[in-house]
Amino acid sequence: MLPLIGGVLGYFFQSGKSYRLPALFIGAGLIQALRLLTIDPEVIRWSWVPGIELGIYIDHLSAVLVSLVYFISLLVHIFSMHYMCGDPGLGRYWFKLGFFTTSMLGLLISDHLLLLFVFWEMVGFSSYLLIGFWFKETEKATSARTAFMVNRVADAGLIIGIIVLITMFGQAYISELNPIENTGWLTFAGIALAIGAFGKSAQFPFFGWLNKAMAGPTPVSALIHAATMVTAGIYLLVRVYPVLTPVALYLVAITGALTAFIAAVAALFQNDIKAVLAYSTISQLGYMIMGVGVGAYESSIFHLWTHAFFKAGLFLAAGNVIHFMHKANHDVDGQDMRNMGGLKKYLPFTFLTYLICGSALAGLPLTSGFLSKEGILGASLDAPVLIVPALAFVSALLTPFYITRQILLVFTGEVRKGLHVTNETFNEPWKPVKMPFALLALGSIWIFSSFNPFNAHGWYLGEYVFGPEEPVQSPYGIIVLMSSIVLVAMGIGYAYTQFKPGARKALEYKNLVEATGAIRFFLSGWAIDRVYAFFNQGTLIVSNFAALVDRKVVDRLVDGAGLMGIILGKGTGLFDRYVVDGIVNGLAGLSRMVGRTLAKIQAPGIQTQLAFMLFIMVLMIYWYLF
Amino acid sequence: MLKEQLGQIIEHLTYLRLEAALIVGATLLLVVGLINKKNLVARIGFAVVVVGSLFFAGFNEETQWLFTKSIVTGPMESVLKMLFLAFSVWIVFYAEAEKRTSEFYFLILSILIGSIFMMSANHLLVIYIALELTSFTGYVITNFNFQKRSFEAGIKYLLFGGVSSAVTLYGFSIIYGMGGSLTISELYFNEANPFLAIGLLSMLAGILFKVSIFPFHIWTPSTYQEAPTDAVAVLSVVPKIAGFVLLNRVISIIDMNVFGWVQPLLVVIGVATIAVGTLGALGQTNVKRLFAYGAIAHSGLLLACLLIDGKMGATAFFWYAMIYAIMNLVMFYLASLYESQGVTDTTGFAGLVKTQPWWGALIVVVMIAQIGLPPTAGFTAKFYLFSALWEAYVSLSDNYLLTYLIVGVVSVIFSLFYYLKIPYSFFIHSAQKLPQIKFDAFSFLLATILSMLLLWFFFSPELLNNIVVKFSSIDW
Amino acid sequence: MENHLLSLIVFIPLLFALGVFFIPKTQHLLIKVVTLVATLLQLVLSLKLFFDYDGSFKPSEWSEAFLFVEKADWIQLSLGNYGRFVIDYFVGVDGISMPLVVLSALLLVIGVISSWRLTEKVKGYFILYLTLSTSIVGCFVALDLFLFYVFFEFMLLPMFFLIGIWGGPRRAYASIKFFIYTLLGSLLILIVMIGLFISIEDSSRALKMADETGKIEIVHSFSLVKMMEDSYGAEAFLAPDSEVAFGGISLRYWAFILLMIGFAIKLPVVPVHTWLPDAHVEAPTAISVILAGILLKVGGYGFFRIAYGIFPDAAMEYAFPVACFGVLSIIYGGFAALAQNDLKRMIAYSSVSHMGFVMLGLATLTIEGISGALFQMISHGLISGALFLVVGVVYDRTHDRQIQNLSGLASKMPVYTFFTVVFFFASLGLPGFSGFVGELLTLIGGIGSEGINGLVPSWLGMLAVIGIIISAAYYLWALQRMFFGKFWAREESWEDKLNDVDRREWLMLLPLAVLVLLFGILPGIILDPIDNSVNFFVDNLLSRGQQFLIK
Repeated sequence: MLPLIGGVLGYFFQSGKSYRLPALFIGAGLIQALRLLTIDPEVIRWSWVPGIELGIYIDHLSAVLVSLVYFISLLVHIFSMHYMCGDPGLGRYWFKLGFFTTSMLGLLISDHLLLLFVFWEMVGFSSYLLIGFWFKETEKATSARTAFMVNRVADAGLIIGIIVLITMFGQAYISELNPIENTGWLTFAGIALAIGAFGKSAQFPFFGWLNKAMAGPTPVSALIHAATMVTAGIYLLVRVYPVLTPVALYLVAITGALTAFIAAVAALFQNDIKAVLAYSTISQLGYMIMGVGVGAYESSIFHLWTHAFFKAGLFLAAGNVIHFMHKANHDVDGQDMRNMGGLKKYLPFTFLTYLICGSALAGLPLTSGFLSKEGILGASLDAPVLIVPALAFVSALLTPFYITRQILLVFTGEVRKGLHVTNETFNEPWKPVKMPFALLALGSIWIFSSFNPFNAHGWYLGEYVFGPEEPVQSPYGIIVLMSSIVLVAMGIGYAYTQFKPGARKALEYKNLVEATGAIRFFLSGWAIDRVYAFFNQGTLIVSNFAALVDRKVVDRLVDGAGLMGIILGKGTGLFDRYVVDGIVNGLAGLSRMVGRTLAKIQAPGIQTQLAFMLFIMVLMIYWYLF
Repeated sequence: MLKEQLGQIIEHLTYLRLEAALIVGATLLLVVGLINKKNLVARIGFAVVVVGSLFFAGFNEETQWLFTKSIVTGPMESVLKMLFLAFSVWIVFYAEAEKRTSEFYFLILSILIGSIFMMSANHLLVIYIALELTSFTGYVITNFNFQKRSFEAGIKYLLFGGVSSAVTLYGFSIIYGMGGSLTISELYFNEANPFLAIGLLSMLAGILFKVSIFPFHIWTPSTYQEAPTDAVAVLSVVPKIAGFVLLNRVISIIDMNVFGWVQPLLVVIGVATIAVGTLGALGQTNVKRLFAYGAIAHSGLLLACLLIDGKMGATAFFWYAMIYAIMNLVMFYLASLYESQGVTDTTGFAGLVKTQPWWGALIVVVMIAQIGLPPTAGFTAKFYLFSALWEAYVSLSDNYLLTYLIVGVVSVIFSLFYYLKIPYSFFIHSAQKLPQIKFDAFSFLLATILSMLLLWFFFSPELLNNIVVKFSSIDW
Repeated sequence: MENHLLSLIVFIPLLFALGVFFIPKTQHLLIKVVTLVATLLQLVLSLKLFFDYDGSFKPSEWSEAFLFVEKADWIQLSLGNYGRFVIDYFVGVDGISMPLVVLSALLLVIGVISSWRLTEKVKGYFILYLTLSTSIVGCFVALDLFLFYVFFEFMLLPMFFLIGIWGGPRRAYASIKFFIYTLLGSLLILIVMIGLFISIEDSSRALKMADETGKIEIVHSFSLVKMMEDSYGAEAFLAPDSEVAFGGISLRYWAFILLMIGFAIKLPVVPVHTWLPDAHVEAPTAISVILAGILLKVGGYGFFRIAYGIFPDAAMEYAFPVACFGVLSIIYGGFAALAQNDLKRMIAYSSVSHMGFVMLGLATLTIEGISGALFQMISHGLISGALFLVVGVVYDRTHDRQIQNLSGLASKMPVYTFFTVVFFFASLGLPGFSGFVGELLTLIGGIGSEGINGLVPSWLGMLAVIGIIISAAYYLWALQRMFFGKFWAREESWEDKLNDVDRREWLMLLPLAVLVLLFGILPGIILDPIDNSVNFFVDNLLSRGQQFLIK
């Protein structure tokens, strides 16, 4: 409980100048979080509205993840001191970052699904704020909006799922979720929850937002879009796993595998250094989702854990590269890999980090990524349909390919665009900032996850989180092991031949060529933006239509009714004034005239008048008598 | 024998002492007017006569049949008489009153006398005489502005009035021929006879003309527009209420089982009246013409009360009539004040809020009352009326009454459009050149008090309710 | 003990209005101060009401459900055989009306602050404003239908003039439209009201009166309590066992339909909502705040207290169409808001959308739905009031509200942007803000109703979620267009005028922001005290409704 309060307080009282304060608070929080690891699962509940009691629940899983979040957050804070130094909105930045961390922590310790949803949304909101941090650039503000909207759509699924669960169980405590009989509604709820998870974890068809989210500052990308926020979906699915019905799980598995594949393909073609990492994140998240879908949620959590380290490391390193590029050459796009190359000699430490973390991503043996990925790959073979493992293995081939391509493009070969490297610009980050790199890179090595470099079941924390487990000898164990090593080797090898310094492809990138055809399609992430734009347009059309209906039809009807009344009134008035009066006046005039000329004859006006009145009366009599 | 009859006449006359006082006073006023032509004398004289007559008023607990049942006077009549007098006396404060001679007030008194007799008449001849008395005075008084347009209006009034009188007389003759009596309460129409029907209709025509019900309303707008405003105030209230009382008496002799079509007919013309009144008013910009159409619409609503049996109807009618009277009194008072300053059009009020906010507030109160919105007594009146219609509809399951109710309610919305024209212009429009309008303190006070009555009777309707309770013996 | 708290709350503004009346019209400051004091006093008293309100009592019948009751004879009319009509001055609050009273008092204070800069026809404005205050609060506390109706109708006039005189360029059209629409609605209510009081008989009152007068009369009462206790007379045509029908639908159902239409206009519900955008756009800021914050709630309150309270069987019978209209409003209003370029219009449509939740929650007749609808009213009152204030800030400076005429305000007015973001997100239902709680509870009711009482199918509730998504779309879009990007204003002169929020504006916005946040985090502040009332409301309605439907 303490870190939460400490975090919130810390951020409210920080100011732009004392920029070390937030990091200190995070550090303090981390210590508290580590203490959480030692306590037994505990539940705290309080009444929120009549009939609904919210609660928090801290078990080992939350404690581990809380520590993870604190850890990554601390590193990101430290790095941000370097990266964001001098930005005018620094105070705002710390606030938003702190807000985000707090929300994320809240999400992890929520017991009631509603409370989880509350933090879930707050995570989305704070990520909106962070993505749109440089709001003066319209494009970034738009990206923030898109990211939030996509999440929002998925969240609608989540809230429906939660509400259905509440209406079924009365309450929705994570700690009390128990499988009940498999009903249609339960499946429905499961799918709805999964949709929510897909949104936050950037799964098909919601993955488009994550690439957009790269508009935010790079440390933010590292924190949010690699280590914490996107994993919320996996966390949720793990938590609600007991109530997921086979059908829902089936869907989850397929979606995960599909996303892993789609994103991996898209990552192959990216030119933006962060976009590659973004798609790779999506792809890795796909693995985790798939892992839950096939029932291997321990492996998913493990992968979540390792992924947090190496992906955060990659992002921070990438951030460093971008930072360097900005300083070295203001004229070119500092994020475009086609402008880079040969940075190894300028940023050796960064390169090292990148190499280690990249290996972990690729799944090289002796890295943590290898361990966790292997677990998932193995489990995928249990999937009910063949397509799941097929896609998973193909993606496992693609992953080393794209990360190798990236490393080669960025760090090796010659500098493609002129860099104005002076003493001032030539700088590796100052020392305290090297620490995060080192820590993250170390975390990506097998030894910090499991003593046995070839077996995922040796995860130190696995037993702590999920309880002691009988080592089950997977029938495919060795095959998976071997095949994954082969796949990785193939991927790296092929990429090396394509992109090694001096290779044709590597040179081609010097000229910024507009992508065409299929490449463009993949470049844009399978044109997911188009799909969103289509929905966007559709919504706009509908809304314009609604407004039009309002203005033209509803209002017209009202105005029309009013107008008709007035016209009728005018008509009646006119009738009275001209017709009746006219008759009378005319008759009076006539009578005068006739009276003058034929003075002896009585004025006929009265008789005509009589006729007029009588006519109506006769009419009435006729009506009612006959 | 003769002595007995004489004694009876004298005894009966005591019930008519108010009328007698009025007649004597009117004559005296005329004589005084011949001697002294001062305006002040005429005004004071009129006030004295009216207020003086009130001293002769008495309340009849029981219905009295006077002069071989040709005149009837009961609690309702006695109250209404007093109301008429109390109502009329205020016109001496109207803006035009400064120009009035005693002849004018004589005519007003004649209208009062005619109306009182109209209300009490139980004999065809008395009805006719009373109708004609008010009509003729009306024709003359319309011309009292002595302008060409007034004459036109007067002529029109006369022409229509003449026709209606003729028709009415025609109806009387048929009724006498078929029914064998001139006394209304001795007639009872319970055979389906087409001649009788025609006679009945013809007779109704004359009365409907008086209360300006469609299709006999045509004279109303131009008459109201052109006639002197103080006269209109009386004309629009006193003969109308009296006419409705008479109409009710006439309708009561019809056996509705046999003449089943009478009620639908009344509903149809009532609805038509409301429609014509409200719709006609929408397009008007002349203030008095607008009010005239509004008054027509009110007639349509008042007619509804006659279709409701029993005490509900009576209450609704009385309330509506009372409030209608007060509303018109103050409304025409305001109209006369502004007319005297040259404002006769709704647009003339534009921007006056800057100089006369309080007057604007008064106008709002009156107009709101006319529309029938709370917190004014206009709402209470409409409320009783609609309640009565509801109750009658439910107890009889008569869809005609439901139609009436719906039309009545809808008319409220439409009336909003035109009654708000003046406040609207007053508050929301702005004028390029503000007319210099200023009224003296007395007008201010009077208008305020009269308007506040409309509010007062909403919040504290006991007074009117108590009067209504006194009707408990009459058979509506 | 007789407690005059409610009367004080209701009539204090009117008294002060009288006081303002005697202040010379050039004394602007004095008038404003007096008005402020009046509303503050009202607020303090209503806070006392809030804290003194004892929510722990579990009522078992309507006659004991109301607290702070005051009752006095007002109008009585004896009609012989038809009995006696009794209209009382009868006020009281239960858990449904009490929060609304407090909300009104709060927003009225803020309205005064926001009209502080007014210079034109100040006296008239504040007199009308104070009168409006009385009638609004009166509506919420009235327990006599006649009294309610009087207050209800009386809101129209001050509002009409406030929009018509102090409004924007198209104020004439807007004010007339507002008046016509709402008058139409109130006439429908009037018809039902008449029908109701004819049907209701108060026998205990009759006995008491018989003791006094010695005459036994039927007493027709306007008391809402009697109406909710179904004390219908023998063969009353609006009684549940009545067989009077019109067009194949029993009169009782007709009455319900008319009431629903009448209050739907006020709420407003699609398709009778078009007065709202116009009225909002033309009204001055403070009046928009009152209009959106409180006046719309009167419609919702009418649903609760009158339409539903009196006709539970019809409410159950028509739960589906009512919910449909609610969802229609949610979605249609959201879409329409998305298409607007005028910021105020957008917020007006968002009000339509959000008030749809009230209707949906009500239709479900579940505890969650009902308390959600109530909470939504409170929260929407705060949020939409604040949103109009936010629009007012920029309108004060530029006299323009078109979204496309400004951009990048965030760099020019950071504090203002902060408030805007807070209220926009509060309104789009971000958890942590009060908007979320209302929508959530309503949705729980909407989706759960099928399983609890089977009144509203689940898919309707799920459909309503679309509304939440759309609301995010239009708010974010507006935010992006107006606040993000480089600073740009259509007219150069605006640049100097666009200063950040000043102290007065802080004073208005901050309390609302704090409350929105507070109620979002701890909704129990509102919901706990009224829990018993809501439970009783739902139980009572359901049991009565079922009982009548069986008949």
